[in-house]
Amino acid sequence: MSRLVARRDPAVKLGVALLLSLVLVLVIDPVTPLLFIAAAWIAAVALGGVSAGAFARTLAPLAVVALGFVWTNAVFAVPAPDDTVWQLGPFAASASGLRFGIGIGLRGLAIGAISLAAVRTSDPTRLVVSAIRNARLSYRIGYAMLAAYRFFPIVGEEYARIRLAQRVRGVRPRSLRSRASATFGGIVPLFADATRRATRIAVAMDARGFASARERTYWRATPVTAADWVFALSCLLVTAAILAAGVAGGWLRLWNGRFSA
Amino acid sequence: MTGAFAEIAGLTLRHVGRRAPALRDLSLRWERGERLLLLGPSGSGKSTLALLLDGVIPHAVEAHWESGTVTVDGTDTRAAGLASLSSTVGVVFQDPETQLVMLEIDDEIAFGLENHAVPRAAMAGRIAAARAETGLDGIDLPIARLSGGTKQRVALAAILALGPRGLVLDEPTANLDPAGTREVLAAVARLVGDRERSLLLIEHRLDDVLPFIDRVAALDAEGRLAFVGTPREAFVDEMARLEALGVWIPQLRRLAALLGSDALPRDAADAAELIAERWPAGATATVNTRTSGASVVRADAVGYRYPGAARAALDGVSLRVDRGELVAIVGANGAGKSTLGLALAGALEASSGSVRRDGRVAYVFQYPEHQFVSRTVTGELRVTLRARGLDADAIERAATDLLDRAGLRALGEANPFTLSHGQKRRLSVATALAADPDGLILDEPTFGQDERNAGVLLATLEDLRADGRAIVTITHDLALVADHATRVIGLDAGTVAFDGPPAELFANDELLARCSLRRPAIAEAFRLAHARRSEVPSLIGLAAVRTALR
Amino acid sequence: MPRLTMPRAVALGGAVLAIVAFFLPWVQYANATYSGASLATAVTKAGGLRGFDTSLYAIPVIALISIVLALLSARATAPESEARLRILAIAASIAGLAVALLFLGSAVLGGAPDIVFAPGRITTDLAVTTAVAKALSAGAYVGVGFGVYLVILGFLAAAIGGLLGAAKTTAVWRTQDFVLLAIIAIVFGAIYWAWLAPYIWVEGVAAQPGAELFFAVWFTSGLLGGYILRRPGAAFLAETLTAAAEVLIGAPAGPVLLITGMMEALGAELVFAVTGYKRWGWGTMIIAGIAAAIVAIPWNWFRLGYFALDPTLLIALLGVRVIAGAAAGTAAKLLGDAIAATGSLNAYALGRERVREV
Repeated sequence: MSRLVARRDPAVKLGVALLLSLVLVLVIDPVTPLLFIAAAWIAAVALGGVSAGAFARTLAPLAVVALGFVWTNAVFAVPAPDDTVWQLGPFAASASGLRFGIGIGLRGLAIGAISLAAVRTSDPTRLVVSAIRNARLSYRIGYAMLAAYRFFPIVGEEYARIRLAQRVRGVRPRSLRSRASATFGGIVPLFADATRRATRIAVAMDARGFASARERTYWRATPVTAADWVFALSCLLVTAAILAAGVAGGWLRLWNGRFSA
Repeated sequence: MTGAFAEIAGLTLRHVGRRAPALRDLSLRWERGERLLLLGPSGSGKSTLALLLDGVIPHAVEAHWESGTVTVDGTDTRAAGLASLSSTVGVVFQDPETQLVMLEIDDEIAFGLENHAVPRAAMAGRIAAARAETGLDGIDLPIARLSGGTKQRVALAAILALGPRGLVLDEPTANLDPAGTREVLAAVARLVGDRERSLLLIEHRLDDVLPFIDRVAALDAEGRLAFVGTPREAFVDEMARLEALGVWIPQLRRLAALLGSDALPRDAADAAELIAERWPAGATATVNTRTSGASVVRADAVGYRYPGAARAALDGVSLRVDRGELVAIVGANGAGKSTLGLALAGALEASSGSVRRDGRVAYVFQYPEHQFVSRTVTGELRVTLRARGLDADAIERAATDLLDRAGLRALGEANPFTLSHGQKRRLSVATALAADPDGLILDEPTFGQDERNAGVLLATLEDLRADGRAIVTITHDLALVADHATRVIGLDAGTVAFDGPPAELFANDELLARCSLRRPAIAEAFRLAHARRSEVPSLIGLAAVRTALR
Repeated sequence: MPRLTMPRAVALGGAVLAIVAFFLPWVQYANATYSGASLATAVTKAGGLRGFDTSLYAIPVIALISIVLALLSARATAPESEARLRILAIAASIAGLAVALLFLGSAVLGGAPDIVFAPGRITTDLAVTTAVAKALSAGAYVGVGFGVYLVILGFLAAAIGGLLGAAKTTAVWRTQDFVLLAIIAIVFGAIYWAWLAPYIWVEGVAAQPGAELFFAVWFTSGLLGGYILRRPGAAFLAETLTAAAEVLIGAPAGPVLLITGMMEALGAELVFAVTGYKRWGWGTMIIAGIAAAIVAIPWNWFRLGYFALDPTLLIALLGVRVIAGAAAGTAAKLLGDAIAATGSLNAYALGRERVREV
């Protein structure tokens, strides 16, 4: 049971995540996203095998961004008159702005949480191959991404090594300007190395027949089973339920062309 | 059916962006079922040849094909499609990181099969067979967690799964540590028995592969065929000529030559017989282990842990390096060699313990590109010279002098990244010397070098050592250790397993195993010879042999 | 005659959508909705065509022009005329897009009377107030209807379709091109995710302006891809792959980010397409960066809730965004040139222009 979501086809999960995110883009109240976050948490942690700590840690930066939205909208949204909740010098926070800001912030978190639930419960290879076989992703793009994905953990190490090497040469920037220039000087070898690798990997791939593979077969079986459709349907039902609850509870606010909070 | 598996006739090929051809008027036959060794100095076009044989040139990589033909298994490579060529000839390159494209072993092996539309039902069997052929059965880790040697075996398995009738191995052990090298060479040894497959090997660790080579071909620096013949013809009859080309010669053959013999020893046991027979009585070489006593860098119980790492990279390391010493640091990958070097140079702050330096210590990185901070070669030198506080005139004079000594005068205005590997290495050493250091730490200085360039570099290091500087090299190259190191430090999982003269390390089986090393061929030969005839000294390298026989 | 490929179909469909949306609700006021068509006729009746009021008719006219040009382009046999007609169709679509955006802007800036306007708002000749002026004076609320957004979507699709219909002819995409963009995407993904993370507090303090600055890093990826490969679709693919890389590496980004990426890249592609993929100087890159920034605005409008913000802040945001776009264009060129100087790009278009025989 605890791997239920993890076993579902990743392309389906990603598609569902995209759909739900688009729905969320139209929502501007704070409560609905919160419910979605809870649902995503359940899907990822309880049913998907993702550790709660990792999930929360990954979302943390978004929480900071959400705070920013709260603040900016509270103060800078165009408010209804007599809505001021709070005043600090020339900055006035309005209730509607506050509500809107919290809504937008939480919405960002919800979209992120849903994506995490989809991606972190999936094996990357399976995700890409399923996208190629089931979602008509070009196989040349898909396998290129997989080959490049191998380098993600190395990028950080490589950059650290480069900066260390440059520090050993005596590049010890102090001012902001020299720090920026040192960062640039560190990024260039990183990209030079990455692009050279890209050329060599492409040659290695072509040397195994990649370029001329007109028809290809697949080692990984990526069937979209009934269970996957049931899963997709359940997600849609949960979404509908959350929205219905919002209507019933009166807290749901969809964007309706109004441009104010 | 004639014997040729592949035939190159009158080929002249020029890479895009180069004025000089990579291969000139080359004609070479690779016989069916033969095991051919291809030698040549850096830049002689060996890898270009490998890419030609599997059709990557011209189908995936552009080049100016000026004349000649390449025929593989009866088909002209320009006419055939890359798909068919890639299942006829498979190439394994030296860097596992740029050959593997998937995240799991089975996916990697299946990749080629997928590209060739092999039906899925047939894949499982072929994957299992490929794993068995390379000794990978039972390994279930993701590729990211494999060692370098295992990754190379995966690359090999991926190629073998396609069932190529020709296999090209382009320096497959060049990027590996000794343990990885052994892994891969053992896998190759398993393959050579199959005479259905033709094998082309580009290697410089010749002592290990000589037993299974049928024929040798050598290219010169301009990409011309300089020699083709049997191993005996290559390393005995034409040894001097090949040496002049800058090509690696098997160590044991050099040993035989020094003993005045025409023999081509197949392995250490062969060589031991030779030594036992011919060693002049009383000839020996004493190893000078006196140091000047003036310490340049000292470490006391140094520990280091990378942020977020599970275990410490260094643990309680104490050592000292004096002026006039050339200390080699050896050990398996991950044992902490580079970390120790960085700590000694002061690039990393030790988490515990202390490092004391009496004088300047410069560090030369394994990958020179990481250290380049300027847009021109001369600029690189100027950066370091300026940091020394010299005035403008002195800087220019010193820069010119360093460029001359490194043989880079003509490339003063070039972008450092565009230099060849050997040139980049010389530049990075020059920039380190520009700081006029008292101690120099080099990480894998002979990595990727041919015999001539490596020799030049080592001679430079010897000069610096004789000049009173302290030299530390982190290396996998045990021949370097045997011939040049006054002392060797063996690391095992962050601790010092051995600190003393190389001869002592090479005599001790247990220590060698702890540091994941194997006795180099010469040392092994002398050990066996000494067992047969006790007056034969236990020498460890050719330098000692030369001294002893003088 | 080229058949009706998918991109052409999208282009035509988009323009048709724009025309259809003209008759859909554009403005909501006091429980009644007014379509673009009715507003246009009301305006004409009220006082004749003058000034900005003409924009109301401009939309269906431009859409029609775009359709005609697209059809002509599909019928053209010579590749130069096909390309020219298609680019004109794209230009028409962009013009239509601009007009729709202006309408939107004016409606927002001039709109609801029950909200206190911040000082310094810009006054323009507002088409919407001419039509509903009477209602407004009663202090009622005005909202922008979905019709306007559909028009915007339609023109965007027309522009995208036109672009994607571009030369399948000239450049052949090779494995190395895909892998290059993929690796650049992963490196940018790492940069954005791992290194900018500590600076996330900037967004905490000043969310939208902070986000704008981060966008500069985003845009750079697509612009760099386009600059190196110099062919249709490169910037688009580079940007999309970067967004995909973010999702793949498990950043809390959301596949929705793919849409953001695509929008931005579209702006850059438009600029590159107009230059025929031949001019790659500072000017082109900076303008492409700014275009990428601007074209993404409608999508970000929704996604980040700009519509609630005070007009002055909005102007400031737009300003920051334009600067970020220009900065991205500059950074992409600087980076591209620096990498090319190391000789690592000799296999690609950018490297080839500087290949000197050595």
